[in-house]
Amino acid sequence: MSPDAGRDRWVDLDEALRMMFRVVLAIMLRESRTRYGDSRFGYLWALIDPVIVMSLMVLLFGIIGRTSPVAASLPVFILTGYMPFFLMRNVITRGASAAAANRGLLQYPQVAVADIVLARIVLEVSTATVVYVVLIVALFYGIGEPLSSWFDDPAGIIGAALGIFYFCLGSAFFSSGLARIWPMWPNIWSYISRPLFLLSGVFFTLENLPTSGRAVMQYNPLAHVLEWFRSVSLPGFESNSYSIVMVLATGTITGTIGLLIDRYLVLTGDEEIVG
Amino acid sequence: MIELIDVEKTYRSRRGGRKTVFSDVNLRLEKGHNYGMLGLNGAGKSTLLRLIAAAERPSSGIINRDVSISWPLGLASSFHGSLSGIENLRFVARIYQADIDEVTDFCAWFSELGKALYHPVKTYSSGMRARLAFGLSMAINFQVYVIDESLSVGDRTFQEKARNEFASRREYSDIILTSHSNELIRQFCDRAGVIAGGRVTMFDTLDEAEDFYARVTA
Repeated sequence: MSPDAGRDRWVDLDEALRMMFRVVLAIMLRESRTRYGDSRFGYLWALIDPVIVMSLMVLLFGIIGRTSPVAASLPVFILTGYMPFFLMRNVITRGASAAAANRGLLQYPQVAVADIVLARIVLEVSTATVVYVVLIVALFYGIGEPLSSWFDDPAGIIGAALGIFYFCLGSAFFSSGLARIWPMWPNIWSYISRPLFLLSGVFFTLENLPTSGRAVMQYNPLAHVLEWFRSVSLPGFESNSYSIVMVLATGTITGTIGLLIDRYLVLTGDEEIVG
Repeated sequence: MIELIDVEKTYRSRRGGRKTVFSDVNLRLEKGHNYGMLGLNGAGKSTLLRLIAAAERPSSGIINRDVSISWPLGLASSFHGSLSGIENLRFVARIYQADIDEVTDFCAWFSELGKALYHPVKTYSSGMRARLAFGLSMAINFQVYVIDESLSVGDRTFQEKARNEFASRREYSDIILTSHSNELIRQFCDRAGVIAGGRVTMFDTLDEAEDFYARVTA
């Protein structure tokens, strides 16, 4: 092989990456207009959803006379759990419908399902991040919740955020791949995701569960993510009940399976683009 | 030139088993000719165009292309219904690295959609959609336009406009057009092939292709 051939390969890779970046960006712009339906204000729903959940939970906890299980106030406790949950549930749901909802886009040779999945992940992660920051600021001005309630260990939060992003990448690609070879998956996921809302630790911490409960919950990777995020975010809450390895391993395994399914379908051309 | 060598295309069927669309396709489409592809519904016309346009890979075999090829302009729209014509157009301009203003101007002129360009595409008739798709692909200057029946949905004025536009760029651009009837192919093409039974048979003249098509579909 001549040295030129080696350089050409790098030029090709560079060109391919630029193309992918352009395509993913274009899909993101398009999806951001359609993500929450037709309305121009549809995107507000991304903000309203966590506010409703938080308000209902504060109300419910008040009615049954329970207080926050940690030192942090109830709104902070709920949101540090619900926001990562909301994000992870959304990327899996959006991954499941990525291919089926965009058959038309696949007519363009430079658009691949992986671009659509990636665009959706980045969009969901950006949305959740912005919503989280907006809620923190709103609660500061609204009920005087100090900003320090959310940022116990900033370096740890960056680490946990990267961990969540990695988990989102893996699980969304997995969900997309599964839906492409098993069309029942989106329906099944919608049934799984409902009890997950109650079982992933939005309303409790692994640390406070009895040993028997924790023994069961440790098989739910979402619960580990929530516990990790709270552990670095909430002042005075250090949990020993979560495993970073569990989170990263789940991301790696699901991502690998998802990408293998994607490569198989792309390379064999074994997927009907127009249904 | 576009060349298909020993191309086979099968799908995994939803109901189990495999569905073979093409078993052994060999063809050469040369620069400077407009090709028509005759075939009944379900014969594989759209699949052939998606293979040529690189929207899909063959199950086996090789496809060589040394020209820029449009996406398959088909009845199945690649537009998002709740986005406006303009928003859909911007997306396509972005992925093809085309100048958004130039594309918009050309599309506005070609499609004659006027204010409707700013309305959601789901409010368009199929003719309006075809006009937008055509204008858009013409704005991006491909060497080969791959057209899947969609010319037939436009009215006469639109077909005439499309024909004039193609005529004016005869030096630069060629057409590959599928249809189940001869009429449209007569208007646009000088060579034709017949898609039937998982194979593609090419002919040098339209008459020969039509005779063969009449025989296999009789």
